[in-house]
Order: sequence, then structure tokens, then C-alpha cells
Amino acid sequence: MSVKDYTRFLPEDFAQDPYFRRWVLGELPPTDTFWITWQVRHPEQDEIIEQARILVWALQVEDPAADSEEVRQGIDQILDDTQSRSVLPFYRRPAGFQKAFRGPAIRWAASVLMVLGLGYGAYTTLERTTAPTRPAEARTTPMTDPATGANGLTERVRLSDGSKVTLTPGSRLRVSPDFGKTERTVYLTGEAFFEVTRNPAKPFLVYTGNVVTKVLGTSFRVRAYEGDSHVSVAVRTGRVMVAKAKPGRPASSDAMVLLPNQQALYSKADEHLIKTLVENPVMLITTTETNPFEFREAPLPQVLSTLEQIYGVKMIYDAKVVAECNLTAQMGNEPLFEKLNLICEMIQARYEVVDGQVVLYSNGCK
Amino acid sequence: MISNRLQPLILPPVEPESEPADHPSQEQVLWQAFRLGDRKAFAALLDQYYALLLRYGLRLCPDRDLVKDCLHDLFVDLWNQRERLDAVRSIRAYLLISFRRKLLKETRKHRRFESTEAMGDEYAFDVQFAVETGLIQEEMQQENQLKLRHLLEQLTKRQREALYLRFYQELDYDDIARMMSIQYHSAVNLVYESLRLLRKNWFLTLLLVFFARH
Repeated sequence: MSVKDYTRFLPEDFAQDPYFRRWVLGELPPTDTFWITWQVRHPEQDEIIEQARILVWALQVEDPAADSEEVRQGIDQILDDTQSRSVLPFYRRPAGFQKAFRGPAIRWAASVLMVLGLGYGAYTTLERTTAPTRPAEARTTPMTDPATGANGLTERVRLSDGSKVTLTPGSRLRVSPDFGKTERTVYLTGEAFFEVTRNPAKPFLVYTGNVVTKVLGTSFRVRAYEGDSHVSVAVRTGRVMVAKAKPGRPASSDAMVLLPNQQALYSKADEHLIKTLVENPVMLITTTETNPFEFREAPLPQVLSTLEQIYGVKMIYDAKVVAECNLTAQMGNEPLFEKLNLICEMIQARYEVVDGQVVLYSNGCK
Repeated sequence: MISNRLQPLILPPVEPESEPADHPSQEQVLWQAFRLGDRKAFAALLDQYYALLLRYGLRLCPDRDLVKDCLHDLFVDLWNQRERLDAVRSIRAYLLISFRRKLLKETRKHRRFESTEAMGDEYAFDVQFAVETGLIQEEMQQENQLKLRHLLEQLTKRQREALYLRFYQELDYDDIARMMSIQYHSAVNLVYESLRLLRKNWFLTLLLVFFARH
């Protein structure tokens, strides 16, 4: 097992020995009984071992878990930027508004459903800053217009960058006079479906009251009604970044990236932006051959990983605890949350949606 | 306890040091593939080390954006210069050393412009050990914790960093020395003296409370 002469070790040496550390921290497989055996054979070393154990325990480093979304963004950005040769390092790039949105590699076309509750003073600001200087590119449909409201017709608008916007009755879209200079900024009240032409150099920004949504190239749907208590942005495919729109510039710390089936909720009352899941997550992958939701004595991690892949929703659970949970079930097209309820019932567990992910609490199966 | 299994990067490597490596190390295979321009190997490197380096960088420099920018540039540079890179013994150590160098260079540059955020001559290395953060509150008596915390306060920044590199990053002394630009024996001393200080001053009066484990 080991060629080291542990009998000559001082606590300082033990504390630095990776194998010893792993034992103390409970990271060795239970079948590895080396240290227990060693202790029995060397009772005279007990005190040294104990001191070493305390050192290991006391000097553990508690690393804050990095935000997995942030990490993914960073990685994607690097992968994106190494596709071509000429990449300017960030710190040599001009700082400014874009800083708030640094690094999201939104690479795929996406469709997003945004439900927005507007209806407060910000609107007047929008009017002022966004005089419709380009009516040809984006006509506005006043909310009070009885014609559009009554006939229920949608209106299609083409922006100068080629992006298409489908406005539903009673909606307003205003295009920034600076549209396309460094960013593509529009302001929306009401409901619209956006199909944004991809252009990573000029982010497409949709301002909706307190929330700003940013995409590089995507399609998404926006709905806004006055008087709602919150704003929500729901993603179906692709990735979208959402942030609180502060006067001046948005702070990068507020920005969050939404993945498929995730939804951002902004509460106007406490001004918090949280990440959750949409009411009924859709399957992102459809398989035609076999039913992926048919399980026969399948280990729970396998079941959850299937759900994870098909719905694109992260499942968090303690793999050790559920190791012995096996599941036989035949599921189909029922909503994800129904599936989860079923699973939880079978193994006596419960789940919560936290930060756009599903966290499963189980006491294990024996 | 819920463990986030979606972040396997946080888990330490599984191979105990004592096991002889009689097969070519996976690390070296990966590095070699990366140098030959294998995008998958590059992606694997990012997967394995990005989060780790980010967390390390944040200990050196509180400016999150700057840390991320440096990390971005580090990997972009690595990719662009992959053909000129040498074989490495430990990817982790190599990346930590390169990243540290880059980050300190950038922070220095930035500090010139941002005089308000001057951090003093030495870089700030911020690491909190379990006994300081209350992580092991239940395993140890209050007074022992206080005593140990007091002792830890006497450690210098460099001692703390050395402990962190040795314990948490599991670097060997060669790499710690290179990383901190000091001699091999100085690296050894930094770690041993810290540990000895803790042990000698602390265990004399220590009442052990948690040895029912195992």
C-alpha cells in the first residue's frame, strides 16, 4: 500500500500527507482500511496521529463554490475566443457599458419568453430617451390604440440589423436613436416576439422597466402587462442574460444567465431578481426510438441524469445518500414536476427548486 | 447534506500519492494532446482548472472582473502558444504559477491607475481556514478554537499562502517555491514552521473532543 515509513512521521508530516489527509477527511473508500490497521499496529503513535488529525481538520480550506454559471460563461468565452486568432485581451478593451455583460458566449439562436409587468414611472424616461427617430424600422403601437387592441392583429417589424420583431396588440416598441452604433437597444412595453440577428459585437438589449435582457443573437418572446407585481423572463432554448436596469448602467453583479427552462423573476416590491424554473419545463431533446422515461430497477442517479439531459434542468442531490435507491417506473409526457413528484413518492424524498435547479432531499433507501 | 455533484472540479484528485504511477499519467496525455491543438483536450483543461484557478485568483485579488479577465487571457495565450509550450510535470502547478504571475502583473498595472484601491506593497492573499470560518464548530471546543484562531493570526500572509498551496492545492515544495519565488528550503520552512507553531503552542493545553470518529 505504501512505501513510506510512517512511524517516523511527526504530526506536521502526517498533516501534509495526501493519503493521510484523505483518510481524515473521509475521502477514502470504506474498503481502504490502511490507516485503521496502521493505528492498531502502532498504538504508540496515537497522540501524533491525533494531533495530525486536528491539524488537518482545523486547516481545511473552505473554498466558496464558484458559480457554475459564471464558470461556464468564462469557459465558453475562452473557447469562443480561441476559434479565431486575433483576440484582444479584455483589459485592453475599452471599458464601459458592455462591461456589465462581459463574457456571455451566447452562441446559439434562442427563443425566450418574457413576461413583463411594467407600469411605473420608468416609462416616461423611455419616451424621452428614445424618440422614435426611425419609424420605418420600428413603428410603435400605442397601448391606447383601440384599433390594434381590438382587431387582435400582430404587427411584424424589421429592424435595421435584420432582426425581426412581432408585436402583439397593445404593445409598444421604441428603438434607441443609437441603435446599432455600439449596442442594439430597444425598449418594450407589451408583448413581442424577437428574432435577433446574431452579432456578438453589438449586443441586443431589451429594456423593460427594471429589467434588461441581453442577447447576442436569439429569438424570444416578450409579454408585458401593466400592474403586474413582477417581471419574468423565461427561456425556452439558448441563453439569455438578464440584469436589473439601474439608472446609468447596470451592475454586473446583478446579471444572470438563463438557460433553457429557467426563468428570472423580478419582484418590483423588494427589487430582487431571482432565478427559478418555468412553470412547465419543456423537453429539449426528443427521442423518437425509445421512451427514455422507462426505468427498470434503475439507479436513481441514472434516472435523474436522464431528466437532467432531456429537460436541461440541473438536479442536485447527494449521490452517496441515494446510492441504493433503485427505481422502476414508466413515465411519458407528463410534466417534469409530475415526474419528480412521482419519483419522490417512490423513494420518500422531496425536492425544491433553488436557483433554477432542482435540489432533491432524500434520506436514502435501505 | 446536499452535495453539488455538478461541480466535480472541487473534488480533490483521487489517486493517493503513495500509489506508484506505472502507467503514463493521464495529465501528461492531456497536456500533450492540448499542445497538438486538440480542442477537446483544451476544453477538458478548462473544465478541470477554470473554477479552481478562479477561486485561487479571488484569494489574491478581490477584483472579480480583473481575475476573470486574467484567467481568460491566460487560457487564450496558452492556446495561441500551445506549440511552444514544454511538457509539464503537474498541470495544476503550471497553471497556478502562470496565473499567479499574470494576475500579480495586472494588479500592479491596475494599481497605478487606481490609487484609491492601493493594497500596500505586498499582494493580499486571503485564505480562511476551517477553524476560522466556523466550519468545524461542532468538532472542537470553543476555547480551543479561539486559541487556534489566535495562533493563526500570528501567521504571515506568506505562511498562510504556503499552507494553502500545500494543503489545498497539494503542490509539492518545488512548485510552492517556484510559485512564491523562494528557495526550496524556504518553502519547506514556511509550511513546517507554521505547523510547528500551531502544534507546540496549542496542543499543550488542548482537550481533545472529537476522537470518536473512525
